Amino acid sequence: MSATCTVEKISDTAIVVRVEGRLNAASAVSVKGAFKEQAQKGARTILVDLSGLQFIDSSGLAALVSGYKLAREAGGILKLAGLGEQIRAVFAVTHLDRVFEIAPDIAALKAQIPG
Amino acid sequence: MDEQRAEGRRMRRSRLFRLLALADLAAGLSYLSWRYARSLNTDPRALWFAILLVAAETYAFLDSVLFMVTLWKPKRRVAPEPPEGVLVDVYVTTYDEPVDLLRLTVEAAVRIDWSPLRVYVLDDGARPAVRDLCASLSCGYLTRGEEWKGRARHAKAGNVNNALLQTAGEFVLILDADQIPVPAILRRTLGYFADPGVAFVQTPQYFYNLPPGDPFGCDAPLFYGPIQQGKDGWNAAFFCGSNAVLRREALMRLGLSEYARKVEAEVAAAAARMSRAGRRRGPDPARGKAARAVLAEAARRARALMEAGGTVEAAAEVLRRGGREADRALAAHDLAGILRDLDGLGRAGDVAAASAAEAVRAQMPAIAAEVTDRTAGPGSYADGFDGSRLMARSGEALAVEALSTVSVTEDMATALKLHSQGWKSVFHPEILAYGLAPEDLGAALTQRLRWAQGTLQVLFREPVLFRKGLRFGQRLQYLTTINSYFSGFAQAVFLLSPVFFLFTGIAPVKAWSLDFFLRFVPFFLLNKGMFRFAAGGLSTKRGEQYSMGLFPLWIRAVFGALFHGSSVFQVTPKVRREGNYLSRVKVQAAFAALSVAAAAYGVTRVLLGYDLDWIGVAMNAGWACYNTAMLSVILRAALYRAPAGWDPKPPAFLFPKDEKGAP
Repeated sequence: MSATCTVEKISDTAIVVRVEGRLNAASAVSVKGAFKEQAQKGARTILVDLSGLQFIDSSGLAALVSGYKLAREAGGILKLAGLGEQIRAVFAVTHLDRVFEIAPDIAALKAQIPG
Repeated sequence: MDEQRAEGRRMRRSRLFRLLALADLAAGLSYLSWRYARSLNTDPRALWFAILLVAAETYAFLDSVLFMVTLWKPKRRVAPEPPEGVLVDVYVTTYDEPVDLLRLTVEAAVRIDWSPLRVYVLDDGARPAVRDLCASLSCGYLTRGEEWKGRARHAKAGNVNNALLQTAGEFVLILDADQIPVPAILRRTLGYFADPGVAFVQTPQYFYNLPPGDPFGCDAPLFYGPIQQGKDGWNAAFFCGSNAVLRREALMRLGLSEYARKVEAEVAAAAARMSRAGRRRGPDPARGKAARAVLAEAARRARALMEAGGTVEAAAEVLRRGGREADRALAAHDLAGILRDLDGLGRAGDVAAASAAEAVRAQMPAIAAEVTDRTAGPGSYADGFDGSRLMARSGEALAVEALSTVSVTEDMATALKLHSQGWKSVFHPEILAYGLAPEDLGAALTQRLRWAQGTLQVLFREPVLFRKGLRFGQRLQYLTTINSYFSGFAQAVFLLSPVFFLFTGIAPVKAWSLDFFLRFVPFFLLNKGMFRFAAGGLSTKRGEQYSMGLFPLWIRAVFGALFHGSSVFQVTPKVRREGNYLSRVKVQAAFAALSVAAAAYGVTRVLLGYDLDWIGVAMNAGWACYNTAMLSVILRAALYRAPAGWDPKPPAFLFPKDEKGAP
């Protein structure tokens, strides 16, 4: 089983990417590709909803960080929300919880987007 | 039964080694304490010389004590049964090696007995011929993508990091372009990963092209045997960059925490920069006053936020806003000046100026903001403290870099970091890949210098003694490595010592007395015996000769690592270039000539009756001759030509006859 990405457009430059399933080494490459594609299409505010994610490993996390880097370099932002317990633990182990602002759920992030 | 007997023999050997080591330690301590207390020649002309020599001897003693510690509790491994069905990637890294050479490795990699297996060639040279080779063997071909354009490539580490983000294997076998694996390489190594704490398994490097007698001293059976097994006993086996299997999760986790650490450091550095900018008074202090106050305040808030456990991202945002507000404060100051001028004109009767001043004053903050945005760009505070750029690590192609890129010896730095994160390592002593050693002295020297300088660079930069997370034994092992590279200084003293005495008659000791011999000889013999015993039949002669012969290179490596931030990764040439390398060993030639001249001079003086200290002269002349003999090896290597028809081939068993493409 691997991860699926569904993209929902909420404004011209803002999207919600919902990642579900298992984000591991096998699915990381395609998820990273999806972020790249969205950034190229002009998405500048990328909200990532991880509430449907069952499992993440370091490679999956690296795909998220790669997406974050892409968004930042394009002058945009990538925000994460809805981390389950296992996912939160992997963030903590790698100290990434000290780096990123992580919202409790996607509604909280959407509320910050004007329009 | 056999296994038991072998185990019993190993136990006895191990106990005997410890006994020898302790005896050597006692003899060494007795000798050195006597040297310090009784033997130093305190004549003012000789004192500096005496101290230099005894310091070099102390260093050598310390070095052998660290060697004893390394070998104190060697780990002897028996390969556990491998798991079934885990996906393994094989990375063959290449830059400019000949395609025919690469073909041998890739063909053997494809034949590795494992399923599921994916073989990738990581071609940093992006050569069409290599791409064709991969297509014909149906293995993956990876090169650097767009994101690397105009950015630091980080040599082999960058090459591997780039691949890690594109492949999915749970484990990764890394092979240099010339390292031909045996089919069993994964079956023999993957079993160790049943322990979820194991990050990597290193196997030996074995060279099938060593010319008879190994003139360049490349063979390292002592290192890829007793020494690595000893290090393994302290959970400090070295990762050597090739012929090793690594756990992807360990590498990625390292990459992620390094990203977190680097971003945090970058934002903290930006806060410090902003704080300094807040204190620096420019050419027009009045103009910058408000902006400086804004910067100082933002820097303070960002730091406080990080200290209070806030995220780095939030702190970067505080810096970004601070930069923008500071730009606005500058714009507001400039606008205020313009307003004053307009008011002056208005008072003088200029109606248009008066009304313009009125309009500007009504919308002052908005106008200041707009002016700022329109003039933002290079040189503005907003640009200098761009939070996005800090968070994206925009100078780097990859956010997550699993293999450390701080040094040209990425392997050593990576192992150090894995060990300090609590990961375990394994050294599996069986030869599972066959590769090439440098085939001329020039290439051998280039390789040694790169290793030495790169290793020292890492260890100077990482405070090994205080780095968090390392256990005491591991710390000691890394310290041993640093320490060994300082041997050049001691060797120089040992080489010059007899020369100086023979020419000047100034002795480092009060007398070449019986006392001296009684203490020195047992220590010397025990020390040699201990090394021989540890080697267990492996030849240590070449190693000793090169340890001395390369002394100028070790010294150069120390200075190179201290004074040049980073050195250029040089790919070790894999093609033999015959020729004369005397120009690379001029220092050694000079020292050898000096030693011979000094011995001849001393002996002549004794024979002619000018010098009565014949014991001292004989001893030092002998010492000088010994030094010359040691140095002569590297001088001969400089002129070495391989025997006619010397054309080493990899062992035939690597290439089953029934397959096409076998040589």
